[in-house]
Amino acid sequence: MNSTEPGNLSAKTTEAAGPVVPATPVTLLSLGLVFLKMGALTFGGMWAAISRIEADLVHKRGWISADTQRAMMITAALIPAPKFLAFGGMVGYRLRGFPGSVVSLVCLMIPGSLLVLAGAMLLRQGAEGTLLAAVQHSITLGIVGLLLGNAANMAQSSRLKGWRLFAGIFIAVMIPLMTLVFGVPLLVMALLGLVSGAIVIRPEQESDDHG
Amino acid sequence: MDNGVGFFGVLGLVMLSTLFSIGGGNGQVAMIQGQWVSNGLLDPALFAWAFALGHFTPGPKVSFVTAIGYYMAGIPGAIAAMIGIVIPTSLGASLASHWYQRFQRIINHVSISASMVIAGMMSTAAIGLAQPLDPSWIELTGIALVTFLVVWRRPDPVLIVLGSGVVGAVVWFAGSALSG
Repeated sequence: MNSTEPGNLSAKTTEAAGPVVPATPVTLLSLGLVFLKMGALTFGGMWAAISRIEADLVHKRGWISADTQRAMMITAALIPAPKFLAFGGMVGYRLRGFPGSVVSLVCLMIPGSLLVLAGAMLLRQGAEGTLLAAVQHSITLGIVGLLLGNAANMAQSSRLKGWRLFAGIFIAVMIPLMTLVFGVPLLVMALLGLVSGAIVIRPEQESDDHG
Repeated sequence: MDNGVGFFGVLGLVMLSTLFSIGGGNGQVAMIQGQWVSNGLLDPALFAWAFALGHFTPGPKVSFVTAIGYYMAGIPGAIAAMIGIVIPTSLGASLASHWYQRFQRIINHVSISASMVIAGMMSTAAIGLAQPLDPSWIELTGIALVTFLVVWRRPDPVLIVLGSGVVGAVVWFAGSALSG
């Protein structure tokens, strides 16, 4: 199976397996500095930064191959963790084991977190009737629209069809309904959704094989 | 910040919420909204501002939890939020790297329904965030337009945040001019 074949995700994702000793030793300091720079200079999340990441980790330093990078990105999007950080952690683990994982994702997070913290310290809640309060109110409404739009896009990305789509929509609708109307804790509904979804919505090929 | 949450309260919720971030679904938003905003411990405007900051700053967008931690428990809360993200993510990334082939089947299985679950969680967060604002029908129309725009064109979230802020400022100036 050719791992560079376009769309061959399973082949690519298996490349993410296991720690690999790189040809050139990588120190924790150099690993940290690279991810610190990445955290300070990339905008728009992991997928938006793919070219910059490839230029730095693949072409400039040769720490990982382009295929490995893509495999790690796909894996990072599948595990329960913020995907950009998970990618950083996977690269760190591949190069320096668990300490490398911690160092790379801490350094990836520090620049943005410090700026966010500065922004939070500078701007508090505006008093009613002020310009600040009006702007914060409209930004909140904008974010409500953004979240609803992202929820719709997330549902579309599942690529479910037929009765699987129906089951998926049912789960997606039951979560806000039960949480907001009947007061069921969100965590309980999320876990119920994951478990029932895993039981009912089986992978297409496996389900088809069993009729 | 006297809300009784504290360092460990922030640490616990952020760690737990990280488990609902499959595929960039930002489960943190829903968990934080459900646990702190809807219970009146965190103002919706501050929550939205923190979320917006995460999009304005470089690096992973999840850094917005640092602001949430700060609003809930000061600087210790911000540190707790960072630790709460780092611990489960580094463990998850290392385990995924080490045992990927062993976990691949389970991950693939769960990830199919996870996107629908996260869509439901995000909808819950959105509705829960809007409820205390008691939006007028004009504001509801605005929300619907933004939702449609996000689904149709998938614009950069920064543009949504900036555009919303500009609209708010324009409305405020117009209101001030009319009343003054």
